[in-house]
Amino acid sequence: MSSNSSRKLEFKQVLVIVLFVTLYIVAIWYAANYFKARYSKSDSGLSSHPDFEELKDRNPKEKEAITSLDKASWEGSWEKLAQEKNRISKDFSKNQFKPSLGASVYFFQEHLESGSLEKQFTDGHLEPGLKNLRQAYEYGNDKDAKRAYETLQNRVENYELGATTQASELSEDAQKFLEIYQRFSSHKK
Amino acid sequence: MKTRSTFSALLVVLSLAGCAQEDRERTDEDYQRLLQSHPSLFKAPVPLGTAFNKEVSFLKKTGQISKGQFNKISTAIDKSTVRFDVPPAILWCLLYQESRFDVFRNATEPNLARGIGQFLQRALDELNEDPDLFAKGTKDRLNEVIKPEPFPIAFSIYPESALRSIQLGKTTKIPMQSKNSYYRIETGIAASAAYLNNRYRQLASALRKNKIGYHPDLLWLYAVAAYNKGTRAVFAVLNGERTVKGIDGLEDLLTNPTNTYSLLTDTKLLDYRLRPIWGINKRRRYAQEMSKNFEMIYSCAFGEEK
Repeated sequence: MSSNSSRKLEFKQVLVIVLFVTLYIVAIWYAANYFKARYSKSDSGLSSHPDFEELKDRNPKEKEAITSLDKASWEGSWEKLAQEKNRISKDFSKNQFKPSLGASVYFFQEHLESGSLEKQFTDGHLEPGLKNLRQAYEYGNDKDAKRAYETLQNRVENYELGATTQASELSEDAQKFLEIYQRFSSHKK
Repeated sequence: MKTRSTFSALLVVLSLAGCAQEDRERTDEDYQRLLQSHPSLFKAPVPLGTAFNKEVSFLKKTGQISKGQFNKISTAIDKSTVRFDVPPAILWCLLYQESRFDVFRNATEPNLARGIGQFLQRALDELNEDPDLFAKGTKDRLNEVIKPEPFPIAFSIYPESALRSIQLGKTTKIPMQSKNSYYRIETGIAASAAYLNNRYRQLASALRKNKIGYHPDLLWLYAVAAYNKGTRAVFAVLNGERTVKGIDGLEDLLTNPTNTYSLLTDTKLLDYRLRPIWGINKRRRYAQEMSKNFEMIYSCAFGEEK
């Protein structure tokens, strides 16, 4: 009789624990969903607009394009890189594909809208910096090319991070941009 | 599904409205008149906010700033605001926010932002290597501050033993630094003002190019955000406003302090606007810091505690 009642007690205890765990899981699940829903409300449905596209949701076409530019830059020919950039840009236009804002700022400036605020940076600081780097690189002057690259890097970092934020916070687009053009800061491989 | 299609239609209408507004003509004269039509938002050249004044009294009381040092800072701010066209209240509040006027802050930590304006090396590089990129004459004006010493302005400390005193927090006995050291009060403040002016010019030039109206005083708050977090983040926030509300909405934001305050203290919205630049963790931190800094600068510079 006593062993039967203790078995019953054990069963009750297990039941309570199982119930408790289930309730716990349900509560966590409910809370997670609640916060998820609450957070996504602030998106107001704009996530489908290219200007608000989340970094992680990048279009594979755009990722592929940047990888292709990266590959072209390894050949050490500015001309080839420019050709590849031109080819991709035309392809984007032909397919009416709008690259993300970051990719447009650093790689496909011609795809920025005419009234874009970023044009101040791309036309006034980035493009002249790239022009200087190309000139120094193609003249074969490593010292000038290094200097031109450093100026370009400085402009990008100040634009992205201001005076006080660490360089480790650079956006992926800027990092990739600097990585590609650093290859033109010296002829040594 | 229905909601999504309704929303897409709304977005198209908004974009078209935005495009239509962008086409409107505005003569240069009209635009200049518009920029000059705003009454000043600064109630006084020196910040009036209670938090600012309480903290300054505390710093003086606890000996963290001596009377002499405070007077030097005050004189240097006066000179720099004239030299680099920065409103005095903004420069006071920026330096207060960045370092609580601690000229040697983080001086022993080469990887951190240092000095009175919390500069990283890149900020000094902009002034040393690319000084006239934003405003012609910046190099000459900085030269007036550091002469007869030559460029570059550097994070140099003399003598080296001073580093030990800084580690121990005993900065009052450190001798005056060379004129081209960022740790010299006049130079640090001038360099910070020049860098802030560059951010302002970068923002103003982008807006002027598109003849977008703004309140010149209010734009300084955006410039402080760009000083702290980069111009790109500020552009992202403004672009978002334009995409959703069109140019009129953007102008309304840039001319109306209440709207600016609502936007730049809304961490969720800031986080959302920064989506195209950073991944989730970075941008959340960024949004929180941006909002906190803005709140402080707003109440400090305009003397309005919300």
